[in-house]
Amino acid sequence: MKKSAINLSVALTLFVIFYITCTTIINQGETGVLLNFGKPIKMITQPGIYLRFPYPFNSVEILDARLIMLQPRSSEFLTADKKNLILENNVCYRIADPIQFMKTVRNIKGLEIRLTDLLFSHTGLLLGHYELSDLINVNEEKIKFEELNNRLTKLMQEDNQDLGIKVERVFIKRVMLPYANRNSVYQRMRAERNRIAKKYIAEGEEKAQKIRAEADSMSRIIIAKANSEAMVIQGKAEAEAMKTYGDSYKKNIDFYKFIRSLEAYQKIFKNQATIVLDEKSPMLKTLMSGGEK
Amino acid sequence: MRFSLSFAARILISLVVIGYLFSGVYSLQSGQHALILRFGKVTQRVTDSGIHYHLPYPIEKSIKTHVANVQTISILEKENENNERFTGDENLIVVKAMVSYDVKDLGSYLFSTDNMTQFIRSTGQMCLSSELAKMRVDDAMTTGKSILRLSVKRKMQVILDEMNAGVNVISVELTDITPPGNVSSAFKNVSDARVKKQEIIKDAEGYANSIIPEARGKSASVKSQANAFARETVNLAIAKVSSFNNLLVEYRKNPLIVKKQKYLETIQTIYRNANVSVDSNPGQSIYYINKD
Repeated sequence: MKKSAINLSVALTLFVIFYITCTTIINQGETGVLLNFGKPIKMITQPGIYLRFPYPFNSVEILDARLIMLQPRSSEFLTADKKNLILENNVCYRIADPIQFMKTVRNIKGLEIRLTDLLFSHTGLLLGHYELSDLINVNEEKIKFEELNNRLTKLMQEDNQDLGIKVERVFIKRVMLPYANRNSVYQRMRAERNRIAKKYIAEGEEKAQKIRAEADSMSRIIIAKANSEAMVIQGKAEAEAMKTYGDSYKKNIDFYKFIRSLEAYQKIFKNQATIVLDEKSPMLKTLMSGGEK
Repeated sequence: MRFSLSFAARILISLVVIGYLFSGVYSLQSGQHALILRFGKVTQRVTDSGIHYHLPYPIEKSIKTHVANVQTISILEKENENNERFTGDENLIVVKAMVSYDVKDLGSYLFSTDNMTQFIRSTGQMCLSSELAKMRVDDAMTTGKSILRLSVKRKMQVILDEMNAGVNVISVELTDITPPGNVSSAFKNVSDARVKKQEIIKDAEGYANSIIPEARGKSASVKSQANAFARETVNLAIAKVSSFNNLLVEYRKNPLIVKKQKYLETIQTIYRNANVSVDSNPGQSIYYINKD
């Protein structure tokens, strides 16, 4: 009983020691390099458990097999039309050949410095073939943003085989003018905005004037129409009156003339007229003759 | 004594063994998925919530992740210093954007990149830059906003799929699109001018709305005056005619008397209002002396 317990614990201890010294687990998302006295001899790309000789004969270097995003600082480049542009690019890569990677780079820091240098030189060379209007344009067909991105990715992929990595993609995150050059853009934007603002006001005034003029002419038409209708009404009334007069007066024209003359005299001598009468005037005959005859 | 010690050791060992075996028990909440790695290799994907078991470490281990949770991260912070971007008409614009996503493929999501958040953010920034580079600034700030959102979302999904990120982009929100700080007053002037334009037009419409009814009123009064005048004229004629007719009846009976009567009435009216003088020598010069 006691013996078997000791045996069991010895076997267990030996197994644990064997497990720790002679096996390595490569997890999903990792890649490993089997080292023989520190010299890389075999790469392990599949996850799983692997047997090895204990240290110092064999050891395993485990590296990240996932995509790594390199984010260098933004940098200034010159376009074909001699414009300074700031480009902010990321490089997405993974360790594809861990042996090569270990031989040439050894650590991520060193790799990133080399990759950044490569990125800057390729970006500078490529951008020399493009104008600003190739990257920024309201006409979508003229934009070569994608093309630039793809060419940059391709160049970055071809030019780093010795690093043991695979560049998956370059991300052109931002295209911008340097600070010093932005002021002219601001000025242009302000000028354009002011022009648009003035256009709005002018359009408003044009429309307002049109509305006012139309209203004025409409009101004038309404009044003129009313006046002409009034004249027609008055004319008809006068004609009717004349007809009434005529129908009646023609019954005795002489008498009409007499009455009308009297009316006329009355109107003529309406105000304080001065009348000089002859003393033999028939009007005064009765007055002068003392009531006789 | 020896027996009891051995018994205690046995119990201890069994407890350790049982504890070791039970270390493989794990539970999943709803919306949580787990990947089971056997010696580092993905062998199983568990999607049901509840209590589960995997072989104890180091043989198997589980990685649990909330899959159903929608995660939202900002692509571009407005507060960020270098946040201006070009629009297609070479204007500059400041954008603040958020992206919401969830996990489409847990294996890819966990093992495709070392920093998924940064990966999505970089993708978003690139897509936003390249989509804005096609648009006019006025569109980007107004009507084109939803188009921009959708095209950025679509493009992000394409790139993330291409990179096998295992992520499903749910939406891209443009929380803020504004002109750069030192141009914003000019943009405000434009919106003010747009308001002013409407005011000017409203003013003119107000004028039209007052002047036309005024003219209508005036025309109504002109017409009613004309009608009144017409009625007066006709009535006067009727009145005059009827008095003439009456007189004529009398005249036919006694022409001389009526004539004399009318004549004298008239003379009377005239002379009452006139300065009358009598001249005994007609034909001579008349000296007129005013009464006053």
